[in-house]
Amino acid sequence: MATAKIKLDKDLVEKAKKYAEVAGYASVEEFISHTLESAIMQLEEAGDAEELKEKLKGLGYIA
Amino acid sequence: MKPNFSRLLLALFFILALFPLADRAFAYIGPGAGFAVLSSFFMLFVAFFLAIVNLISWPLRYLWKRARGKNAYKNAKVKRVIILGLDGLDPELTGGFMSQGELPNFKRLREQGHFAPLATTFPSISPVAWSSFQTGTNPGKHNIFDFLTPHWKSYLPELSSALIGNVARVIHFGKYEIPVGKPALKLLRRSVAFWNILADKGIFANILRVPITFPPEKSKALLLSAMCVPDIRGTQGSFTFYSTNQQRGQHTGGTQISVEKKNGAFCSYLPGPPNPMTKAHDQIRLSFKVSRNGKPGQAVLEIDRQKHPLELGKYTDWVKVTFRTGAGGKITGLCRFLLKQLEPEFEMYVTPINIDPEKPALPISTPAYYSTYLAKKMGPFATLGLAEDTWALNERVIDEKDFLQQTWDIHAERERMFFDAIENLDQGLLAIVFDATDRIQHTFIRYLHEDHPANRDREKVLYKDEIRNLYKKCDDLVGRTLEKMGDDTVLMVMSDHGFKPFKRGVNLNRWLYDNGYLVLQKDGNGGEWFEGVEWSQTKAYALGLAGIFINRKGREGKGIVAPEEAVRLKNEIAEKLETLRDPERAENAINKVYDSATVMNGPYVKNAPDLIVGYKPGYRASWASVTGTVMEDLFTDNTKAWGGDHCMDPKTVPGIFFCNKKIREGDLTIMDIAPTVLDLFGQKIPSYMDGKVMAMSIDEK
Amino acid sequence: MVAVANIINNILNGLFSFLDYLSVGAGLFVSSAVTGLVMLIIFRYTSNQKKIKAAKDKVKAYILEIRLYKDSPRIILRALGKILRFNAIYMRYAFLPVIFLFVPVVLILVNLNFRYNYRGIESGASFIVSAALVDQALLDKVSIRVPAGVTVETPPLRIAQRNEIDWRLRATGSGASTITLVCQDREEQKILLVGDRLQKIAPQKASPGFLSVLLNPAEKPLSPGSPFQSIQIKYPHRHNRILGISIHWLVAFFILSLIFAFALKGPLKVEI
Repeated sequence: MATAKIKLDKDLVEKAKKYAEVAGYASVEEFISHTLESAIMQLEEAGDAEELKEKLKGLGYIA
Repeated sequence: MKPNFSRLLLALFFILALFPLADRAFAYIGPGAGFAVLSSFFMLFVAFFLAIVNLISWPLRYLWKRARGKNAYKNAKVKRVIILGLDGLDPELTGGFMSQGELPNFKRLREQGHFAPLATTFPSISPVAWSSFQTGTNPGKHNIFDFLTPHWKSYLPELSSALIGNVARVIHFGKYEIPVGKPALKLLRRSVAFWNILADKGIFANILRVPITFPPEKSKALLLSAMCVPDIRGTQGSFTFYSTNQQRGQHTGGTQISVEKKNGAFCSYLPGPPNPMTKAHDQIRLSFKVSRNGKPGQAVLEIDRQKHPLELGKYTDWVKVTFRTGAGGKITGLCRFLLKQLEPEFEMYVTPINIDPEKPALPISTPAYYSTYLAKKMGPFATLGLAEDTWALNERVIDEKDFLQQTWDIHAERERMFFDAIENLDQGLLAIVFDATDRIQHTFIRYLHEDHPANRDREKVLYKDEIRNLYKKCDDLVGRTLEKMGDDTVLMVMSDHGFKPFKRGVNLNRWLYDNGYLVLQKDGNGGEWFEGVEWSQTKAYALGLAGIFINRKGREGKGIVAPEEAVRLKNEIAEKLETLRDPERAENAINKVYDSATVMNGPYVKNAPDLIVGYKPGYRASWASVTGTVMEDLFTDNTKAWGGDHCMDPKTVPGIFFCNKKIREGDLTIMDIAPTVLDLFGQKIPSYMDGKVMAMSIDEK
Repeated sequence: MVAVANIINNILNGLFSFLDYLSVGAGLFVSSAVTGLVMLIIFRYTSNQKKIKAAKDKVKAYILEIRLYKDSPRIILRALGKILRFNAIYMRYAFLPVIFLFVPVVLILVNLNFRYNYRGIESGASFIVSAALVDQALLDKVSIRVPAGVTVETPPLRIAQRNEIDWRLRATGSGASTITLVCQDREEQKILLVGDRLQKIAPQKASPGFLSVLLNPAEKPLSPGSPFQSIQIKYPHRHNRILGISIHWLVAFFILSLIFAFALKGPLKVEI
C-alpha cells in the first residue's frame, strides 16, 4: 500500500503513542489508522453482495 | 545432438571458409545468432555489473554498519533459526506413531531437544493461529478471528485477512475501461510480523508460504505469500469440470461446463478472469479442443496455441495459459489438466488457475520479483493460498488418488524451495509452512474412525494408512532438514493446531432460531447468507467456523442489542449451549462456550465473534451453518470427504512443538514463538506481545 | 551444378525484384522485416526451444539472486559461476541453428549487397577496369573494346605477378553498356553501368563455378574455358542515407532485422 503523510498536533501524537501501547497496538500508526477506519465504517455504504459471494466461492473451509 | 556439437561447429567454420568473399557482409550471422550474442552479452554484462557493485560495496557496507554500531547480529545467541511449520500436525497422532517407532527423526528431536503440545488460539483455526504465530499476540490484537468476517452493514461475509478492492480511477474509451494505477490491496492482519522487526534491524529473514501473508507487506524480508492468495478469477480457488454428461449438475467450489463434440474432438472453453479493461468486466475465455490421437486412453489438448498430451488419470504438468484483455494486456495463469474419462462420456478436471509466479497478476511476494526468481530458478509452482483442491474431492470430481497426487506434487515443489532456501541461509531466519499435513488430515482422517458418517457407502480400506504415511513423510522431511541445516542452527518444528474427526455438524443458526434469538421474516424460510432473516428482531447469529455474533447496536447495521444486555445474553446463550445434547449419539456436542471478552484482549476484540463455541471433538459447525443458513436440521451427519477438522474446543486441538534445543519448563503457546525468535537474535521483545520467551538452553558461544 | 546455381539465382532474383520499385530505405526496411521473420521461423524449428528457455531462465534467476542476496559474497560468487555456466549452455543451444541460418542469410546478403553497396560510375569520371588471366603468357594478347561514350584514358598496365591487366577509362552519358575484352580469339563482355540509378551492380564477372555463380548473381559468369579468371570494374561505394542518417546498408539491415526479429518473437512465440 502506498502511504501518504498527514500533519497532526504534536501533543495529540504523544498522547496517542502512550495510549496505543496501553491498548495493545503495535504502533501509533496502527492506532490512528484503526481509529479512523472505525469512524469511516460508520459512514460507509454496504458493499456489492454478489461480488462478495463470488469471491468467497471455493474458500476451502466454507460451503 | 550433444556429442556432435564440436563437429557441427567445425562444419560451420568449414562452410565459412568456403565463402571466400572479402566483404564485411559475412560478419553478419543472422537475427537468431545475432540475438543470442547480444542477449547473452547483455545478460553477462548485467550479471557482472551487479555482482561487482555488490561485491565491491559489501566491505564498505559492512564497515559502515560496524562504524555505526549496527552489527545486527551482535547480540544474537544463534546464527540461524529454521521454523518448519507443518499445518495441523497433531500431538496425539505424532506421539502415537512415535511410540510405534515410526518417526525416528521426531524421536531424535524429542530426545535431544524438546517435544510438547503447543497451545493454539481461540478459535483454533489456521488463519487465526498463524496470525498469532506471526505477531506473538492474541487475536484481539491482530484482528483475524476466522476466514470470514461479517460486513457489519450487510451481514455478508468478507475475507477477513485481505482486502482486494477495485482500482480507484478508470479512463472510459468506448466499451473499454482502462484502469489507472493498481487495484487496492491491503493485508487486514494488524500488529507487526516478527520477521519485519528482524529485517528492519538488518537480520536476514526468508518467509515461505506462512498463512495470512497476502497481500505481501512492505518489508525487507524475502517473503512468498500463502493462504488467501486468490486464483486468477479472484476466488479462493475454483476448479473447472468438463463433461459431455449434463446430469452431473452443479458443484460447490467449482464450475461445471458442458462440452460439445465436434468432428470427433471435444471443444469447450476455460473460464478466466473478468476483463478489467471492459466496462462490463465480462469473463475472458480461452477456447480449447481435446482430440483423440488414436491411442487408447490418450488425447491431445490444444489450448492457447500450444499442444499438450493428455493421458487418462494423469495430470499434465503446469500449463501456462494467457488471457488477453485486449489492447495488449495479458493475464497469465497456471493450471493442470486431468483427463478423467473418454468413453462413454468425456470428463476432464482442471485445477484452479493459479497466479503465475513468473509474471504475477497480483503481487504475491516481497520484493515483487522474488516470486519471479523462484519460478525461473525452480520452474512453475502453485501460488494459490489454499492450493490443494479439497472441494474437488468433496464434490467427487476427483478421487482420493488424484487428490493425493495433486497434494504431494505441491508439497514436492515446496520442499525444493525449502532446501534451496536452507542452502542460501548464511545467517538469520527461515520460516516455511507446509500444507499437505492439513489438507490430507482434513480429507483422510475418516479412515481412522470406522464409525465416521463419511465412510458410509465409501471405500474404507484403500487409504487406511494415508495418515500414517503422511506423518512418516513429515518425519523424513525433518530428517533431511536436520542433515542439511548446519551447525549453530535452532530448528523448531511446529503446527498451528491439531486434528480431530468431524462427524456431526451443528447448525448454530438453527439453534438460535429455535431458541428465539434469531428471527425469520417468514417462519421456515432461512436460506444461505441469512436470506430471510429479520434483523430488527434478531439478537444473535452465527457466521463462519468460530462462533456466534451478538447483533449489537452501534456495530451491526441493524443491531438491536445494547452493551449491557449483550453481557447477559452471552451468558445465557453460553449456558444453554453447554448443555446441548446430540439426541442421536446421546452426548453433549459442546465442551465449553468461551466469551471472547475473556479469552482475548486488545483493540480489535470488538470485531471478534462474541462467543467462541468450543465443540467437543467429533462436532463442528455444520457446512450450512457456516454460510448463515438457518433452515437445516440442528444436527447433521458430515458425509463429505472432508471428515477431519479442528474448529472445536481449542483446548482439545493443540498443535505440536519440537525443538532441537532443550526447553526448561512451562506450557507453550503459538504466541511464544515470535518473542522467542526475537530473543534468539538478541532483540528486545515489544511490550504488546502476549507470548513469552521460551526457556531454551543455548550452548554459550 | 552451375545450372543449379543459376536456377537459385533466378528464383532469388524474382523474389528480390520488388526491390526495384523501392528506395534504399524502404527496400532495406521490407527486406529486413522479411529476413527477420524467415530467420525467426528457421530458428524456431531448428533450435531446442525448451532448453533455450530453461537456460535463459536460469541465467535470469541467478541475476535476480545477486540482487536478493546482496549481503552474501558467497552467494553472489556462486551465482556468478552459475550464470557463466548457464550462459555457456544457452550459447550452445542458440548457436546450433546458425548452421541452418547461414546459407539463406548469405544468399540474402549477397543479393542486397549488389543492390545497395555500389553506385554506378559517375558520368565524366574515370574508373579502373581490371582483368585477371589464367596464364601470365596471355597478358600481352589482351585488348579492350569500348562502346560509344566511353574512352580509354591510359594504355594497359600489366602486373605480371598477379596475371592482371588494368585500364583507366572514362564514361560519359548514363545507362548500361558493354565493354568487350578480347584475348586471342575469345571475347568476354562486362556490363558497365553509368549514372546514379539504384540497380543491381556487379563489380565482378566471375568464373563459372557453382559457388562463384551463386555469390555473383548480378551478372552472368565468364564462359567456360575462358582465358580470363575474372573481370572487374571498380565501382564506387554507395553512401546511403536512411531517414537522414548516413549509414552503411549492412549496419542498417543488421539493426532493422534484429528489431523486427525482436518485435516478432513474442507473437510468434519464439525463444531466442
